Amino acid sequence: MTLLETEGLEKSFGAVQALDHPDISVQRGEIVGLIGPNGAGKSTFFNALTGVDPPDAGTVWFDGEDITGLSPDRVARRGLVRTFQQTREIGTMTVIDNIRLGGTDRPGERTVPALINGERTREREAEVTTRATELLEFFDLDHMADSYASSLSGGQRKLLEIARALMLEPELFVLDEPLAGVNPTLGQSITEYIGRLNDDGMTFVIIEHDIEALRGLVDRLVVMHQGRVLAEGDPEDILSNDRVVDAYLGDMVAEAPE
Amino acid sequence: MSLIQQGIFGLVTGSYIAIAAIGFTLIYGLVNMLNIAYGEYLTIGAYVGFLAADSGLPLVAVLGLGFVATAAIGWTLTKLFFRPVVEKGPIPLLITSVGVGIVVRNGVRLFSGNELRYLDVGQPAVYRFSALGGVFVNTKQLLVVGTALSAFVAVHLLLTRTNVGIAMRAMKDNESLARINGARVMRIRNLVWLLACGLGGLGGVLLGIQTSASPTMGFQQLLVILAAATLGGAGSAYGAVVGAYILGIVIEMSVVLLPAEISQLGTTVAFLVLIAVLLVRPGGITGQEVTKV
Amino acid sequence: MSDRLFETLGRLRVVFDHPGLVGAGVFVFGLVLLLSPLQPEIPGGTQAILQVALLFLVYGLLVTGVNLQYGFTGLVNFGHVAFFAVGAYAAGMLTASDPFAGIGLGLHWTVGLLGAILAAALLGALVGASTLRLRDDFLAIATIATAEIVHDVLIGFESVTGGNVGLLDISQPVYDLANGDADTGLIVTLVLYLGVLLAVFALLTRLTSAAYGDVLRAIRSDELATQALGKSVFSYKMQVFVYGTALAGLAGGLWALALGAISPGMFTIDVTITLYIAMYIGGIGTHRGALLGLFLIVGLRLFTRFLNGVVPLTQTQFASGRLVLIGLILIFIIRFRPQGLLGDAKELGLDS
Repeated sequence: MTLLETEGLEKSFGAVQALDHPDISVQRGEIVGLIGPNGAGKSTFFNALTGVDPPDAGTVWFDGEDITGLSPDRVARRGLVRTFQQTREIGTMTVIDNIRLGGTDRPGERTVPALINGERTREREAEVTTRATELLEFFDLDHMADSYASSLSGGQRKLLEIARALMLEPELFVLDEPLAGVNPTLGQSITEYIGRLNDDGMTFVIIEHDIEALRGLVDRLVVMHQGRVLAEGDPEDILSNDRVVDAYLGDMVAEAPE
Repeated sequence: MSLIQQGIFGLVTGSYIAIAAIGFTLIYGLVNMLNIAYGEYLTIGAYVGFLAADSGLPLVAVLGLGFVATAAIGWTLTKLFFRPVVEKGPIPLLITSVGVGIVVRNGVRLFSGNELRYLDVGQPAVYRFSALGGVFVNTKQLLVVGTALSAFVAVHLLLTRTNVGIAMRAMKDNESLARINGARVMRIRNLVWLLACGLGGLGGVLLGIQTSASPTMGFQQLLVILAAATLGGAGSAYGAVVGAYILGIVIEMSVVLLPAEISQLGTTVAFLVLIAVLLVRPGGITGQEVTKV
Repeated sequence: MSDRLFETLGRLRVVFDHPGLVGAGVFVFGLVLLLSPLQPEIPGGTQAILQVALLFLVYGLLVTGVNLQYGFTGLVNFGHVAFFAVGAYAAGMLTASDPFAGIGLGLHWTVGLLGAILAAALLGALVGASTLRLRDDFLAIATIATAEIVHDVLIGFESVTGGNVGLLDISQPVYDLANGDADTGLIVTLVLYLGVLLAVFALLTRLTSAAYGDVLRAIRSDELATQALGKSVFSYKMQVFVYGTALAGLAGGLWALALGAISPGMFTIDVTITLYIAMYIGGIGTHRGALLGLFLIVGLRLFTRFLNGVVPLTQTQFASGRLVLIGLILIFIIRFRPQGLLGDAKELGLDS
């Protein structure tokens, strides 16, 4: 059944049209890879989905509901969770606190329960801490639990961002270049984690440049180019599709020095 | 007092605010800094003007000295206090300027006391225009407006016709360029500071001639200057001029237009206008591009 | 320096560990003192100290409020004095019987105090709803403008606010209950207000130690990331803003009810500046720090007042000199120790 569907999305930045009706739909349980040359509009697409930068026109349907233009926090609370291309860890908080921040339904986040600090509040905090610790272990970050997030390496920050987002128990997890700047071994672990989570029912849309890494992971590839969907389908078919290769090559030629 | 007479007062007020607003905007555009010490440049200018006038120097020298001395002093303050903290971000920079403002204001008071100092540049001649319903204009007012107009022309020529000016505008528009700290770029930054502080000083001399010099005179103008710059559009010198005259006229006309009880609330009206602008069109009249956080 | 400082602070620890209890106890003690036939006398020469202490306690409420907004959440509220003023004038206008100029409804002091808190909170909600979505520097400008508007309105609407003269004959419940004995009144006021300050301190500490505080700190660091984690950032910003302004209103009401007379000169931008200096000296983002910073500034004010009596300089010169010193301290702190005395550099993202 369709979990996510976009229709007629448009977005311009001045004279540049970043989104031009990239109609995409994602089924529950899929792992969809979103690829395309630089400037194709992939991150803009994510921003439009998640309320970070709402589209000028068009609709986003999530789990049967029109979520177009909802603020990022409301989108996240509905189960559509994202990570950012450039990690946004809270550098002034510890790793474990960063992850705990993703915890949901914490009474302690509301004024009166925070002041009273009753049993329910404290119980939930303990639950959140337990879950956060589990995720820390899952991602092999537990030895850094009490370090400030600013002291993590680039790859560790990526893991932290994913772990933190997982606290929200997403239905649809959209990741923006989770493997960028990450060494191959760690990258392998990440794809394995994604595979495991998918086995447990989580749906994914992943933007990536490292197409090799996506090959064995995704069920379907969607290629974006100039704000539109250029092609979509089985990874092997897509990657031997001439138009797709041209799109990438075209940009590579354009970028090559004279 | 007729509306036209108040309008004339508005042009005068708008003039010295405009000169200062240009300077304020230059700093904001260059280093993204709300310089809360800016008002003090007016105060410094006024006191320098006072000393110059007291020594019997001619009017031109008084104005010129006000400009130059304030440029030098202001630049020194920047080098001492602002440059070292630039990387810490706009809010620490703002707070530092609060501190510098406190130091300068009270430093002036420490040396000169609270007494008002009058700039003696001779008695003004008064002209009466019966055609416009009997409005009065005196030469002091003409001086202020005239100096302002000259300043605008000079700044405009500087920004559009000279290499330095064009470089200044390039730096304002290009953030990454503004971040480079090469020697040439540093020279341009220095010139911008000198110009901005000098303009503040010039505005201060004019204000001092209009009224008097006192330790808090500049600080009292700070908010109107800030309002003018914001109203005109953060970072646009031309917008700042427009904003200044609008505010000047609004403030002076309120004396006549508002009911007697609250006639002093012209400044309040000005600030309400400012808040409205911030909410509806933060880019100001000239529609500057405002990036979100 | 730090060692002796912390040693002294350590002795105060017992107060800070259980501020709520101590506050309640102090408050009760104050009431007892008030209602008892005891009439403590203020030794000659210490009047000045006690009056400054009153200032400290009231400003203490102000600084904890603005610290919650700026120190913890990163909201650049440069108009905090406006809410202080609104609270004071609300209490004044509600309780004054015959204020000479301006409105005076002669109502009971409880109405005045409640009115003070509500009025300030309402204005806070209004200002917050309109300005909290603005970028930092624009928020600073908008709040500065708000404070100026309030200040000008207080001076301008003479028939309502008493203009430059201000409001007189405001209800002074403590003095009334102390049978008009000024000394007892002042001492009891100090004790009661200390209780209030400690109680507020306790509440805010609890609030920020909870998950609530984590969200605030996250907002301060990165609003978008916090939103992406499902937190309603705008809602938090509004809450914190209104809590802070309500506290300022409380401070204003308590101030008016203690002094019996208020005037616009008490509510200038200098108050806001003092609060920010206090926060930076003591350490933004810590409640203790804000109070410590305020204590040091107020202490400096007191110290120089005594010095003034000894050294042959005019009052103006002394005041100016003190302010020059304060300005330099602020500049120094921002440059060399922006986390202040008690702030945590790592937590504020200040060490690179």
